Amino acid sequence: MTKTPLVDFEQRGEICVATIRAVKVLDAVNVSEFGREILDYVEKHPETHLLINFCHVHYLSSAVLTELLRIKDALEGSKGSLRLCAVNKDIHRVFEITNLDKVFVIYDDVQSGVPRYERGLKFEAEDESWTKGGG
Amino acid sequence: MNRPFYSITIPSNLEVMPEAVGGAVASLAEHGWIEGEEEFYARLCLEEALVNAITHANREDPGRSVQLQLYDEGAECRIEVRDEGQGEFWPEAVPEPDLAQLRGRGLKLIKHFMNQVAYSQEDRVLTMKFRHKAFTNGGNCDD
Repeated sequence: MTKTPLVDFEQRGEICVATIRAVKVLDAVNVSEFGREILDYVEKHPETHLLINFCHVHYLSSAVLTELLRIKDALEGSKGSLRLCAVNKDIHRVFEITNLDKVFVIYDDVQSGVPRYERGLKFEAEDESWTKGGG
Repeated sequence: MNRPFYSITIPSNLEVMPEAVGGAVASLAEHGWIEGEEEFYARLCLEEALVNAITHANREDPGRSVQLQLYDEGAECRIEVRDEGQGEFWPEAVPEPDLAQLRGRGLKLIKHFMNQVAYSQEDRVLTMKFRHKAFTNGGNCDD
């Protein structure tokens, strides 16, 4: 029997939205599976700009924070980037306590996150070309 | 001697850890130590402590157990996590993780919510104490 993936990937313009759909709890038990699914996707799709959608997730532990840092490193290593969205207030507090709210950009939801993420990428591209052009 | 109001011994297997944590959280709520959204943070601290004992102390050796016990001490609730591992662990000496560091945030979360965190090298017991509303306001044992 095929196991249901934890994460659904959906391309929306430049942004790939990764929605954690199959579980409400991300902890030390399923974190490896979560990380493997995302890292497999990143390996097959370099230069991905990934928005991980936590709208179905009620709880996560520090093991998931470690995995998110690994995913961020992998994406940035393949000229991609990572943003998060739709974390509940308890999970947001976990990011604040661990100071990772300074490492990850977290949008309110997918609807507002996708256009803001795209604007950010556009700005970064213009900034880069300006820097190169300006020598 | 004060008897624990919750006690469970599990093998060093992460798959069985959620059942122990779930039972402990339910017992904390039943005994009035947590309510409402505090369940999230109580679950978090218990999971972080058990994961440390199972993976770091016992190295997931199925022949070694982890015991979780909860005690009512009046003004405080005492949580004990006993491992059967080797090596020393000094929670008070663990430095604050820097932003890029992959690990070390579980202990930071525990210290944020608990009023006291200590590890006995002799007994191999991690003791955490918290007061009412610590999960709402933060215990800040490292302040």
